[in-house]
Amino acid sequence: MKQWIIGLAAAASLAALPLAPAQAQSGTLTVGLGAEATVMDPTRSSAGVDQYFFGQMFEQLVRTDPDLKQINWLAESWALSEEGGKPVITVKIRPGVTFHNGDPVTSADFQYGMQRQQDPKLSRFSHLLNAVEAFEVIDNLSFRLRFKEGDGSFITSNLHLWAMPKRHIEKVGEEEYQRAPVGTGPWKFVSRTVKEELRLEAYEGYWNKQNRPAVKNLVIKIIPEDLTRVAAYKTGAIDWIDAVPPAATAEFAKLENTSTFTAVTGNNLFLNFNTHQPNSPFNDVRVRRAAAHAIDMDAIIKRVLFDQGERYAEIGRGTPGYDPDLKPYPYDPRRARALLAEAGHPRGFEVPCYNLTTPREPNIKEMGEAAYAYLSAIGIRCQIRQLEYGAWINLGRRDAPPEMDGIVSWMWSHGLPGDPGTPWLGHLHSYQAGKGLGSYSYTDNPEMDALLRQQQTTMDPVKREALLKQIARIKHDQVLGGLTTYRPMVTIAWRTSKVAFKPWPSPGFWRNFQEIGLK
Amino acid sequence: MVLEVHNLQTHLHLKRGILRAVDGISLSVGEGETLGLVGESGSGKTLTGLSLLRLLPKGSGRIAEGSIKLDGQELTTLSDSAMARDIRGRRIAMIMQDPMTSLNPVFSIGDQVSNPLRNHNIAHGATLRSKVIDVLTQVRIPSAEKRLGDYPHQFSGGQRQRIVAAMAIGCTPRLLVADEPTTALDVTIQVQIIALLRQIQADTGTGIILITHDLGVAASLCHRIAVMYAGRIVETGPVRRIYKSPAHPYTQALLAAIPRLGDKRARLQAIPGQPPSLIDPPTGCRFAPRCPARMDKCAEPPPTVTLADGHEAACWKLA
Amino acid sequence: MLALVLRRLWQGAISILGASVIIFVISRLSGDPVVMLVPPDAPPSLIAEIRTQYGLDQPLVWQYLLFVGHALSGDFGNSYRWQMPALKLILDRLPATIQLAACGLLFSVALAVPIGVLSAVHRGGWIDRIGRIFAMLGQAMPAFWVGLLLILVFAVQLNWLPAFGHGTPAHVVLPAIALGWYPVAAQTRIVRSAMLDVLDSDHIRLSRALGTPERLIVWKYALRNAAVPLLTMLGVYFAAMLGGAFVVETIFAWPGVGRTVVEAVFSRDFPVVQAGVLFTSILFVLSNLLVDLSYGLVDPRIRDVR
Repeated sequence: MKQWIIGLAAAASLAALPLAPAQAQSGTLTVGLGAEATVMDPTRSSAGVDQYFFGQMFEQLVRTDPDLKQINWLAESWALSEEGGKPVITVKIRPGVTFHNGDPVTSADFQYGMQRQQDPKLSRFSHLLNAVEAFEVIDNLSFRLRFKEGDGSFITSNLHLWAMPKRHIEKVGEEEYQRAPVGTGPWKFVSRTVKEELRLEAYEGYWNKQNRPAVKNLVIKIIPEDLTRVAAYKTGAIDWIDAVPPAATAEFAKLENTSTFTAVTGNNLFLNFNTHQPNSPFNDVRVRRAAAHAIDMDAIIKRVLFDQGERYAEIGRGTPGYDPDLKPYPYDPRRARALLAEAGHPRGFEVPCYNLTTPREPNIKEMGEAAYAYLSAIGIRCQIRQLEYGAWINLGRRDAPPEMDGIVSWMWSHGLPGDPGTPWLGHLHSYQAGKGLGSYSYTDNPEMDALLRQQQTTMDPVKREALLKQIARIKHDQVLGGLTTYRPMVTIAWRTSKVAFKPWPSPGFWRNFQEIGLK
Repeated sequence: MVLEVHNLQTHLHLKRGILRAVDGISLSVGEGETLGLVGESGSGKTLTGLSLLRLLPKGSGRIAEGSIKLDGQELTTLSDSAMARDIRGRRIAMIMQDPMTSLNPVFSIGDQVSNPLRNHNIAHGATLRSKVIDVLTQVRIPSAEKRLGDYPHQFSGGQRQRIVAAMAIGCTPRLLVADEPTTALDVTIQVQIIALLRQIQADTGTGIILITHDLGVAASLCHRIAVMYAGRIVETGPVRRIYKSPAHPYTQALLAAIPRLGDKRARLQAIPGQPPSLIDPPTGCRFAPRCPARMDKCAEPPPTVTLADGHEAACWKLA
Repeated sequence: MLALVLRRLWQGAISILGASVIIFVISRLSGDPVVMLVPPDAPPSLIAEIRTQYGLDQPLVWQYLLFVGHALSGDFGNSYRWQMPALKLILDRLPATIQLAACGLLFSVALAVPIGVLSAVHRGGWIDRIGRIFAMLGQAMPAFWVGLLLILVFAVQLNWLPAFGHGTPAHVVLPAIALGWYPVAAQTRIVRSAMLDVLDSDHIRLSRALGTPERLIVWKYALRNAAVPLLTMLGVYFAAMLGGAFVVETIFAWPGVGRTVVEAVFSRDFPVVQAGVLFTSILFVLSNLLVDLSYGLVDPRIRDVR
């Protein structure tokens, strides 16, 4: 029986310095977000934006720290091993963790949470726990997860599970629980007015005495309009602002009494090509490479995105599988034209280019238009078709009309630091009707498919890293599953004299108030 | 004398020139007396009435010369706000032509009749209400007390004209200017309104200027008649004499034009020609171009000749 | 009077029913809501499961009948995105939008009436000219821009009023101005031309002849007559405010129903769209009914003519 102990020691990795002594919990801080959660229960959530809220109130067994390292959180320790050829993860829960209502956290709570996540009537992510065969309670503070086969992204997804208060939910009922959630996080729910605000109170019984809020009340205001949010900060109505609009980031960097923080948000953007229709010019790898050389992504990031973006080649910095030797295609329009001519298109060709207009990332419409302009300049003449989010999703899907017959500006978040596994199974693996593979993919490469399925069931991080790097190299060389463009960045700002803030990531986002307080 | 007008000249300043609409008229009205101001359209009779109240078109209308004395008080030199406060609706009141449009459709008649009384501080509160009922009863509106809250559209044309009369006499004015008060009404109602005006005059002694083109109406109500043509008064006199022995050729032509019962003529006898332009009127007698008795002397302004007691005419023929 | 109200309500009910059918069909034609509700890597089995959960795999007519049946008992289903009753989502936010639309209308009328009256009384004068320019500016500047401008000046620079949010009377001021700005032009023209008509009428001349002070003539006796054409349009303008509220609500983070419905349209959240459109139509019908009834208040001639 092989045994790999993978869990990191708890104390050593809690590297963050405490902000203030735990007793200084008074006062109110008002912050402004640009979007709000629709659902506050992590087991019922369907959109990433829901983490803005539940990320403050709920916690998992492990978590990503400010340096993007995975550290033990509610788990004191955990280990991956093998039994009868099937993977097993054994978890020891940290003692002394309580829910906001005072109930202690036990294995039963994690089991209950997992059942909720596996129930398609409640959860939209039930398929992510398909590999888990059984939850075995050892005692109150330890349990075992038995897998029917390897799940490569289970560990990189922070072990998926959330601590859910079983006794409390069974007592108050589903509807009341959705209205007033209870978790283990540093913040306790007080009240919520849809489309207006969320009010939270620092949880006095919070287990982590070193990394915790230093203010008693937190009011999160929802201000969707960028310029209004900026105005709210400038007038002092809020003292911390999320998502400074890219055009204003330069101004904010120079604003007096204002600190800023800029970081990658965990989304990955790329252009995908029609390689599934038999007569498509993009079936020729030279045409795809021409497109890769045609776009000056650095210029676009600087001018259109105001430097709020980071180039990446297949996998971004910090994500498993990242290869510093793999460099993005250099901007070389002459080479692009030569490749096009070589592939039999000396005078170029027309192609519909689908552009997303809904600003799920800032300036994504303008970014797409700029990229398509570069393509047009070297001969891939784009006929831009603007699409709002709903139509764009429908276009991208393989299992329903309309067919994507040109180039489409797409995105699929790996996370922070995240994992490329699941996204690649969606847009790189060949389309397999009914199997949930390649739902948004135009690629059909058997070698890729085999490697992708292999990484899917490999749980050993070292072996998996090697596989991911191998896939990335082939993907990059053949420009398969899309041409990676950039990873968007977000800028957060706060009033230096009033607010002490240390950015912590939620799974995939930076809007987390683990350590925030009044000076 | 309630009203004494001497050499009144009212001009309209238009883009194409100065229209001398009322070009030197003199008249007088005594207590309890009705003076008819008769003439065809455009003769200046309405503008004369408006001049008395100084209600000329804003900006273009002006009293260029002359005096208007009400009970000896000169009106032409009063400010507009003094006119509104002391004269209009208080000492001189007006009744207009079309009763269907003279009343404000969205206010009750009680409100509209009390208005002049309130504005001129004649009465307030409970006294006001009883005064309104009184005056409505005076003009023969039945069940006046019950109808105070009713609206103009709930009354007939004749009744509406009575209500207008009530508004006019509420403050017991010294002079009533009635501008074609019966023209828009049918004959049977006309008779009622004329009787009403006579009644009012008998009750209050108010002077009346009746502006009309209808010689029959003038005959039934007026004591004296002044005939206007092209901005000038051509003949004045007691009503019987004017009708029996008209002196001025224009008056004669007017009377001749009235069709009589039993008349066997196929055509109406109209006066040939058009009234002159009042922007650049002829210097002499203005009727001369159309006058059958025209002489060379008529190129000069005709003198006013006294024919009998109170009977005058401006014509060279009579001189 | 009762007959009128009943007839209007009946007509209104038919309009509302028509609107609900149209929205029902169009929203389902606009695309598949389920793919937007699940993560992109969701397997087909999950998508099918959710489709069944929401009854979206049933024939359209059956879906509509189910919808109507439930709606009559007050159940508009759960929002796909918010997972809470769509009715509650809409009704909770309706008062805020009504408040905003009413204040916007109030602002526009408060501006249009004096400017319109003064423009008519001093026709051709400087007030008339300035009034016309001012009103034209209103039509040229969209609510979006006006809103941001107001925030910049009154919130950021002067700090007199809050930049966003809801709760105190001070919060309504800027959004109401941003929303009510646009129809001022048209309303001023209506008031001006109506006043010019009335001021020329016989009864006003008679009133003046009887010595009524000019102030009373303009602001009481003439204005009430001129109010009728303005009242006609108020129903239309209130509807326009309801429609335009979405933009202002987004800019000022106003928690209204306009924003809720538009966001629901973009995310294909059918239950919310349906409930939202239904209640907005009801509001529209009711406000038109109120305007109809108010004619009788202002113009007594209409009271007896039915």
